[in-house]
Amino acid sequence: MDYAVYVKDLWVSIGGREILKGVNLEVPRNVVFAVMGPSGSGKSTLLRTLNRILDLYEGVSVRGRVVVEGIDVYDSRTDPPAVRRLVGMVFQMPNPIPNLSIYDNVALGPKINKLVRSRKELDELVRWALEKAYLWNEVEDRLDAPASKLSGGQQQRLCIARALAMKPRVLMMDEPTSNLDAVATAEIEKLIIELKRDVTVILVTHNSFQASRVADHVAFMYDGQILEVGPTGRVFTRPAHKLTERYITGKFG
Amino acid sequence: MRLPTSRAVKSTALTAAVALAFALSVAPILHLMATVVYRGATVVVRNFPSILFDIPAAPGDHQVGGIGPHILGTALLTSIAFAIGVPISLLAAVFTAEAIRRWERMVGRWTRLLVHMMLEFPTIVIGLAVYGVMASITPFVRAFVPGFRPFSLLSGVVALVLVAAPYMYLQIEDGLKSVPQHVREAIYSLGASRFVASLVLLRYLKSTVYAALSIALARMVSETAALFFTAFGSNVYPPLDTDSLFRPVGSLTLAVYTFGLSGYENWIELSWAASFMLLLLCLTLFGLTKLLLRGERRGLRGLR
Ligand SMILES: Nc1ncnc2c1ncn2[C@@H]1O[C@H](COP(=O)(O)OP(=O)(O)OP(=O)(O)O)[C@@H](O)[C@H]1O
Ligand SMILES: [Mg+2]
Repeated sequence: MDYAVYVKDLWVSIGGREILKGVNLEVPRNVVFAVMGPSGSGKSTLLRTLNRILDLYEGVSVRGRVVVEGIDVYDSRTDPPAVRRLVGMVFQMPNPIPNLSIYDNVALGPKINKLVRSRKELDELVRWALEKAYLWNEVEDRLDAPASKLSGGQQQRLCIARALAMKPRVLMMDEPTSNLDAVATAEIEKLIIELKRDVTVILVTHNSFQASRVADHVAFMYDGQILEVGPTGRVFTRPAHKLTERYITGKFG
Repeated sequence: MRLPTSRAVKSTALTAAVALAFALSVAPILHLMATVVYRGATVVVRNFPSILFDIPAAPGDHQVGGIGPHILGTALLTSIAFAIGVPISLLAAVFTAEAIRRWERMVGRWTRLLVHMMLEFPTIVIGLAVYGVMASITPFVRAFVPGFRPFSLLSGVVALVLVAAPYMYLQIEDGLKSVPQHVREAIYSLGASRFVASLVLLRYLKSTVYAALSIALARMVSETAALFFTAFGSNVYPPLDTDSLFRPVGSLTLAVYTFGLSGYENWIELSWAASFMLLLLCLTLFGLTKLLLRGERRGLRGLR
């Protein structure tokens, strides 16, 4: 059992409502793993469960087993911040920390986790992350401006850069290109494929073309369960489940 | 020439009415401030600077003496109470606003309830309660600290903390609670511990925190009722020894009250002087906060 992410019979309820209903998942290392599914099927909740950011919500109950990079995420001895250090997250809604500058938004993670030893190293890391997120050229002359001044698409790329700068082992991206134009989307997709070398990417996307372009494996989620999972080629050519087929051919979702 | 329409007439009439109401409501405040400044400043200027250091003259004397012990008392009471109250309020607010585990959220709910109740208590009741506790523990504490007394600087400090800390706590807690969930998620998703996340969040809420602290400080400076049975008041300087924490101490507010009611002309003058000093202190605090907040905003603008 040597997976980047291993989920066994995961049940999650918020405020007494079951959101995830027995999710099973095995994500190998160094792949792009896409999660598709209609709105409200629980994709974002699943991601929030993997790095325990769901702890911040009230009335949450989690049952089942989640193992990320060998760490038993819901073990009582596990320190949630330690999990979040390993599992970077790009949220569905761009959420830069509005009062911090563009630079500080990216630098905060490395600072918190003591990834750098000098200001110079930090500068280099921030620049590297912003370049990877295809944002550097647009912000290099105003790194000290508050992040809230950026456009929606720029904020989205800033959040990608922020997650990259933490050097996570697993990177979860929740619709990272929803606000981007075609050129930026292509750049981010290129980045996702390139990232595979060093990290495992879990990508939530509504766009089946995007999934087919970048993912090695896809999972199809429906009403809190994973209905189907497999290699991208197989799922897209011979979907095992009727609903999967209807979803990828655009008949619903 | 056009005749004014009925709408224009109505609008003018309303504007005039609002202006009048405004004038009527600020007039008493302005009058109050003018009186305090006029009567207080006269006394202070005439006796400057000895009034800031001397002890009061005997009642009925032709001299006024000074309010030195009261100024020192207010300075001691507020600075100690502030130094204790701020960290307590900050820690409590962070603990309950950033609660995660079920028992932590439960403690948070009870804390909020308790604090809301404390804010409704008349401060004189808080003072009385502190006196009651202090008096009842006195016999036991005296076994270890012979100089311990219920009327003391220490009791005054405890009372002031109980008066002002709930206020600071609620302001900061409300601020933390109002931070959008997606911002909080962003901070925690970077692997921040609760301590680090709180620092980032408090920085995000800097102006709320400044405002809460300065209003709390102003409340401490101007608190009277809670001090009657605790700090008690004193017209002499406390001797500078280890027991001074356990001796009664004066304050500007107590000076306003006791001298004002005394019926002796020279003490009534001292009362005005103390009022003036209080007003000066509160206005200075107000100005400093405004300045701090403006510097803050300008700092942000300068970055762009
Ligand atoms: N904080 C919350 N409290 C209560 N219910 C929630 C909460 N967050 C999500 N849900 C519910 O959980 C279900 C799954 O939500 P989730 O956001 O995971 O869906 P999703 O698959 O990401 O959808 P989308 O594609 O629209 O982003 C929804 O029915 C939603 O109403
Ligand atoms: Mg979602």
